[in-house]
Amino acid sequence: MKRQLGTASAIALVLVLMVGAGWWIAKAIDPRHDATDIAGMREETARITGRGFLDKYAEPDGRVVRRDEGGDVVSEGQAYGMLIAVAVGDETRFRSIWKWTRTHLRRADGLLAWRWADDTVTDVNSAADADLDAARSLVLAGRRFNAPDLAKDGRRLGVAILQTETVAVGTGVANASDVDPPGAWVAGSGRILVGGNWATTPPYVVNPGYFSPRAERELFEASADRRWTDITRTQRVLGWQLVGKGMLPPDWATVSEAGHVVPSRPVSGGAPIRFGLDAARLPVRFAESCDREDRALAGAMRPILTAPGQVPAYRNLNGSAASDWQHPVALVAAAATEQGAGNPDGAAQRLDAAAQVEQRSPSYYGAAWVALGRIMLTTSLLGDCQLAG
Amino acid sequence: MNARLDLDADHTVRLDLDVDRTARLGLAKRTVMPSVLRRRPGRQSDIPLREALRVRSGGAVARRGGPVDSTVRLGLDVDRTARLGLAKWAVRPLAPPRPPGPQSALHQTLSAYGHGPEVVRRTRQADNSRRSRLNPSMPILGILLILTATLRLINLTGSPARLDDEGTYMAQAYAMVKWGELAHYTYWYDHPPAGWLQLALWTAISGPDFGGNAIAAGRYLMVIVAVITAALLWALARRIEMSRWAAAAAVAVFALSPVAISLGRTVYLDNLATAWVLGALVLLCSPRYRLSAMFGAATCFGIAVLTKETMLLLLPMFAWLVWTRTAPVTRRYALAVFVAVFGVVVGTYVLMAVLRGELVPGPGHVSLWDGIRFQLWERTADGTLDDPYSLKRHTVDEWLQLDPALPFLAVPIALAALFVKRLRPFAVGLVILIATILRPGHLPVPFILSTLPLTALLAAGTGEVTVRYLFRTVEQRSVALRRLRIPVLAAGVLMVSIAVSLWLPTYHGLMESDIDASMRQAFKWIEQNVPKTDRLIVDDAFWADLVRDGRDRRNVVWAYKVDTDEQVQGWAPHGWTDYEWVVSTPSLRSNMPPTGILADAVAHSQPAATFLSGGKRVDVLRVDNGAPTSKPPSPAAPAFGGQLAARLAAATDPDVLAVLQSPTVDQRVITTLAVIAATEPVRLEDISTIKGEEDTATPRREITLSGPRDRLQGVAAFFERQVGAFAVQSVDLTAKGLRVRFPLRTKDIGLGTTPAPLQGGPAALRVADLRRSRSAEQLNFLRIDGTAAGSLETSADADPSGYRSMPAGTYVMVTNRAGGGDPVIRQVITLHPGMSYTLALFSAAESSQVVTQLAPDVPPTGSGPDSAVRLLHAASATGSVYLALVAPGMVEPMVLANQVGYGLITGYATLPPGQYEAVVSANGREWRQPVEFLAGEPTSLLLTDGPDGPVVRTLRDVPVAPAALDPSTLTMPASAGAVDKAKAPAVERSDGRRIALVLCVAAIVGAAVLMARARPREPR
Repeated sequence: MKRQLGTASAIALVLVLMVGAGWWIAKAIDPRHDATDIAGMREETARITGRGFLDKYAEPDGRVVRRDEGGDVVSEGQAYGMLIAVAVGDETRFRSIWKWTRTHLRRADGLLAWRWADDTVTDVNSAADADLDAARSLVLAGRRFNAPDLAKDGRRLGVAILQTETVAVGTGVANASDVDPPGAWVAGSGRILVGGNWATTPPYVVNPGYFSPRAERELFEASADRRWTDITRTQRVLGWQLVGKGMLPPDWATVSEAGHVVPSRPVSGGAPIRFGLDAARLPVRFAESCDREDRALAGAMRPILTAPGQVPAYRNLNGSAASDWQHPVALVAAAATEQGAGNPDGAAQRLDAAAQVEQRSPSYYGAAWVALGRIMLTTSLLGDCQLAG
Repeated sequence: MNARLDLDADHTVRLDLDVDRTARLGLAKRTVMPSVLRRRPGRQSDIPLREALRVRSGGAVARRGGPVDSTVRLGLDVDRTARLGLAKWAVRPLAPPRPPGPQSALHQTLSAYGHGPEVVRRTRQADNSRRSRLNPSMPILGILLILTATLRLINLTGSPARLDDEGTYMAQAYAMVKWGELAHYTYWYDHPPAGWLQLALWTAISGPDFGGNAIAAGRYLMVIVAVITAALLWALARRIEMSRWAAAAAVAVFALSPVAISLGRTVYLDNLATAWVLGALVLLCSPRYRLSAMFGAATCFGIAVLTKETMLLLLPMFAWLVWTRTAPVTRRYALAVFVAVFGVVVGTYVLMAVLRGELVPGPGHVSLWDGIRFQLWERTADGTLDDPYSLKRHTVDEWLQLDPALPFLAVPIALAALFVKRLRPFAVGLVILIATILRPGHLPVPFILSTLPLTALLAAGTGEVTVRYLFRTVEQRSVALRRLRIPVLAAGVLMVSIAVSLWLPTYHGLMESDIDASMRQAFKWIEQNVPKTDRLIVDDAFWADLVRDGRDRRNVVWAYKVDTDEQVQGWAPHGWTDYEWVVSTPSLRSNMPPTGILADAVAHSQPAATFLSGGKRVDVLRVDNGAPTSKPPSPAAPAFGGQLAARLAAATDPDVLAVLQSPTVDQRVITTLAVIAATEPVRLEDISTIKGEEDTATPRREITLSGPRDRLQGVAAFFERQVGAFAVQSVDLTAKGLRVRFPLRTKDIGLGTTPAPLQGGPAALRVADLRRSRSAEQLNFLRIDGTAAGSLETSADADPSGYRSMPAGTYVMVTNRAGGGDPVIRQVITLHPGMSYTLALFSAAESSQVVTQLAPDVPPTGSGPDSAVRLLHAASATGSVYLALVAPGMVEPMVLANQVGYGLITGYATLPPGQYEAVVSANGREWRQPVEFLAGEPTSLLLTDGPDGPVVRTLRDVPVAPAALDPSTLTMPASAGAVDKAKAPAVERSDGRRIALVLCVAAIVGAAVLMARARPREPR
């Protein structure tokens, strides 16, 4: 009887093992890919690209060096490094970059000086995009790495941005009777992110490529300060004023107190009004937004940015080419418009094309935006909208 | 005495008798089981028991002379026919004897054969027992059939998405029922029509709305067919001597395989044909060898071929079976019958072609020969399996996506089955089908359907043979064989585990995913937004439903036919410009020719609505064919929305304000909101996008307002009153507020471009009421930001009002009754600084409608020394007129208008100032009137009806000290009744869940009852 029981048990065990082995083998040999698999592959590609950027441009001491632009360090690069590090989950690298940034670039008001070279800060003014990206990455890192100190730093930086780099605009703030055409304003009360601490007197200088609905949402979640949502909404209105029907946003613009935005030359002068490497970030940042209204703005540029033919680095505001060479960030912008128009597969294809251009002509800015483009447009490595919402 | 009859696994019959020795010896002399043999007449049925009976071991007979044993164990080695009969008697204790009564026919028969009363009694007991017992197959089969149905019914309409092929078959069935035609377009012998004839019969029975749409109706039939197929598979398995559990395994594989579920519930002709093939096989394998079975088998196979011609590939299998499953003496006769009947059935197809005069090619008609030639030789090959981009590879990948196990296993299963004699013909059939898949050429997606039952049958059959071999009786087992049992069993379990594990992920998609959502939503969108007079190019999946929806069949054109059917091309002589819409589905895109009418139509179109994204999306494309309504409507310029947003800022959600300031809002929304903002304090809650239009250029055309209910009712009445360009599609007053939707089709009403600059001073405007019948009405002018600019009252005669001064800008013009009621938006006008205008009101063709025209009162060339003159034709009774100006000394008269009708304002013509004679000709008569034109002053000639014919009056188009507008008189109407203008019934997705639930409950109850009945009872 015992022997029979033992045999039966052994047989049952073998059968159970076989069932388990069958399940395991099936998982291993299953040739099918579902949406989750594809998302996983895209995420892995983004991680690899992000790590590649950090390996190439981030120094062990925490500097993110613009090797192809004189070897200087800018707050924007530090913020990109922090965003990518938190996206790929590299806490060590994140902390080293933030430590260096905090030590060498943080100003008395909490913002970041925008440029550092030859062991010293060469321009103490701030750049709002870098501050915003850094604050976003800190808040994210605080959550992801369970580090309250980083989250606190992020909130502090956010407060500094609100105090020093944003201004109120709109018909509720200023008389709009001189706005021509009437209606091209911000109705009611709005708020915008200006170019930096140096741009807080009207007409306000803004860089549309700095507008980042996702970062603002992250900081709103962290601080519950409604001004962040005001900023997002106002910037969307300004974005539509600039994009309108069949136009592209400029690298730089000025905004009146009533909220009327006009394209302008770069603050540094020289370059013409155009859709360049700065403005190319606008569709990317709007396409990664959780709000369909923002994504629609990115998608509105699709007919121009994905028109047949080579994608030039610079364009005139009517979409015509202003250069005969390519830059990865222009292709990332085209990918963003695909994403904004609800075509994620098209976005992935254009990101691959951007990566190829980056491989042919490597650059700090191109590498950063190929990595950030993949992270922002094809993955939830910087948080997903459910969490954020 | 008691007895027990058992049938062993090796088909040996064991008879345990509790008898005395004498009876034992007597029994051996009796003949075998008369009751069984009586029911199984045949050549071998009269074998005496003493010849068939041999004592094996341990029985009292073997130990004759020994102690009397109360039990006799007899091993019966009987022929196959008897075995089948005996099987029914197996494992049943005999019932107690019935009380004496009238002798049954059976009793009499047995007595007549000379059997003793004991045998008669036992036989009668067994007969009674059979009547009270249920065949043990029934619960198993019942459960399997319900499982088959349930798995196919769950999410029936959600996965897979409805396909072009399905639509084609259902459309052809619709054409048969509705018009008595063989197809919805020219029938060209692509397939024999028996398949959709069956579908037509089903739709005639089930009704046109069964399941919610045409394809759903067809899918319900496919579920029934799948159940029939499963039952036939069971019957076939049992008839080829597979055990009950092996048959159950075969049906289970068929029921559970994801590819069988997914393709099995798709409306494919192969499903129908496969059922007919199995029916033929079951009849062919009938143990009775009746001629009627052969007749039926040939008929079924013939219908299978007429349902889907690819079934002809199984002809060798059928030939083999006909040869082997008949008695040698009747073999030739049976074969002749089979061939003759099959030939007659299939010949009806040829006969049909002959009767239609379409057997061979000829001018102006299709032919059967052309159809065969296309299918066999001219059809584009799908490439090879080793080419990852070939269509054939794509088809196979599609199968593997559903079921990566069974298609791969089919090859080894077929090869293994070749070694089992009774499975060999079926294995040959499967090998033929596999070879067809592997060969170069066209491979349709549903081809796999015919292989599935055979694969399931052979998998179970070979598995059973293997198990039997391993678990043979003790004395036949070798040590090596015993050692093999566990490894082979483990390997079998491993294989089954792998297969099931590969199936599991697919079930989620099959049972849960709503893959058809985009198709369903697209259809609903078309139903609500595309006028029924428009002509659409569609995937055939939509065809039947759109035609059933009331569209002309010539306005719903299957994409495949656009470039291939001369009849369709005749309906659209101007090519792609004769189409208004293309519904682009994955199937349409993948089969779209690179050039031609369809390609051109798609190239000249833009999405008006898009459902889903990526390759599976469905686009409803609006073809820009040059018609005024063929272009996508322009949204309002953001600056107009900005003006209104500034006005609404205090009481409106900032996010809604932001939407207003984006170029995504329909011009009608801005216009009507401006009127509401000026008259009724209700709150704008939302400006929403309509499902499918989010990622397209279609502006937002739906708003939600909130406020006190009586005010909302008044606003609802206002919306319902709007006509022309401002007419609404639906007004829905609910507890959440008032939701208003404007129709898709619209035109630019004047808010599409950025507002004009304000510099340059005020403008001047006068109104000429030139309607046929004039009722006193007031014209109110509102700015886009919702502030009232003022009003004007129309005059009682045709004389225009005096010029009024107004600030330059854009205005909404609203007419209303004197006193302010019943406002109707007429037009949006833009007045430029320093300009003067005449706003003329004409009657539309329908007298109640008003058509307004705003004409600038400045000639394009500006004021000069000459005079400028134009015509305002307001003489509706006169009709078309010819008007010329004649002056003394003029060689040629200046023709101002030639054959122009009522309601026209011509452009200015320049001529020297002075006295002229206006010559008006109409209806063969001529009238002359003197007119005078001053230098530098533009003049209008107003032509009106007089008592004796048309009258010409001169109007100086120069404002002199224009007065300001009167105060605004606009008010909203009083509360109206409940409004629910166009509440479309919600289209629910019919996914068969309810039916599945009912079936599940029925399955559980039924199985419980059957199991209870099948359970052996204790002998009383």
